[in-house]
Amino acid sequence: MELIETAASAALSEDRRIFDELVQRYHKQAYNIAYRMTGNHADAEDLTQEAFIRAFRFFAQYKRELPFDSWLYKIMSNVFVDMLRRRPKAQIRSLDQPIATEDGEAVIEIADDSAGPEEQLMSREMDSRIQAALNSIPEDFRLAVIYADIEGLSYEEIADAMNCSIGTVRSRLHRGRKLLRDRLKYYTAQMQ
Amino acid sequence: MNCRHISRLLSAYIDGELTGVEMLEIRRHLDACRSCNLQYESLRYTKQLLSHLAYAEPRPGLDKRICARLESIEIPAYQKLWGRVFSYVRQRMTPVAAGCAALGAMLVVLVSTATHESDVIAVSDRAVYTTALQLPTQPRAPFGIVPVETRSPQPLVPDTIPVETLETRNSSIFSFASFETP
Repeated sequence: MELIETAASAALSEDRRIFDELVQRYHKQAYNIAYRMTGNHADAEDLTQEAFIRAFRFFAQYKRELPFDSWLYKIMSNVFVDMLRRRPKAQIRSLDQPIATEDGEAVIEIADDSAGPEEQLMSREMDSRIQAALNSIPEDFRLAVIYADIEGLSYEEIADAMNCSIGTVRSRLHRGRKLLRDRLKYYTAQMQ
Repeated sequence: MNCRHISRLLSAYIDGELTGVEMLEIRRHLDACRSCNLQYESLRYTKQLLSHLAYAEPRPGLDKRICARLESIEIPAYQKLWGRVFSYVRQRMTPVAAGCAALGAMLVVLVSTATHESDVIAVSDRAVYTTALQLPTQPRAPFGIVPVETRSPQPLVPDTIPVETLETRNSSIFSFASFETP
């Protein structure tokens, strides 16, 4: 009995050592995705930490022959959905849609505190615009777009990460891109 | 394919996630249709914009903070056990062996369910008589096989039951038994 317990604890400490290495290797990548999902650093850090903790809890079920990041993305998607469920529903609003105030209607401006060379300024402004546009689309579309266009996953991998069919991925991605295109008309027109 | 259908496939076309035939068909259509081509270009630029987003860097030491939190994680005993079983099955058993084991487990469940159901069927037809005549309960046959002779009524008849009722009931039971064993 003692032998079994020793073997089990040795296996657990070995798991822990492997997991620590995986944390070191993948935490930046996971954080980048988390930031694009949530749109702010505080939530991105929470999401990354929660995803790794959940991954650790179920680490025994992880198939070692498969890439760790694909498995982690699946967990991140679930944690992200859980996070959204726990919070009071945020109202999704188009950037172009004016909001009613006491002094009349106003249009949302995205704050930009950057300073420095013009290119850097443009790049930061564009980044925050794109992030704001991402935040404004439904989360299913957002996740599909992030996985495909930022992380470069295939449709099959996205379907696995989001627990849905490839057909659903195709549809979500297309609708998400169309919404983003409409919100980022100014930049896409410049690129054209 | 018409413009509407093409429009729905444009994102998948950009990602190269269509069959070769579909890719060729869409390419031909885009060469001929200016409106669809404009849509295609705008979606392609949108994808490009997203792929050029800067890499979001975490605050320094995020990995250390995660590992520190892992120290306080207590994995429940049942989860550890399940993890070990899962890990053992995955490492030691081939998919075929695992499949056979799963099939065996399913058969056991099915047989035990069938046992319960066949007992109910076998007994339900004489349940009235068992209750009314207070017949002795039959011992349960293994694996739900109820011998036909045990389905026939027992000779114990209480005095309180009228004889004509008994005859009617017994005849129906016998006819049921003969129907079951031609």
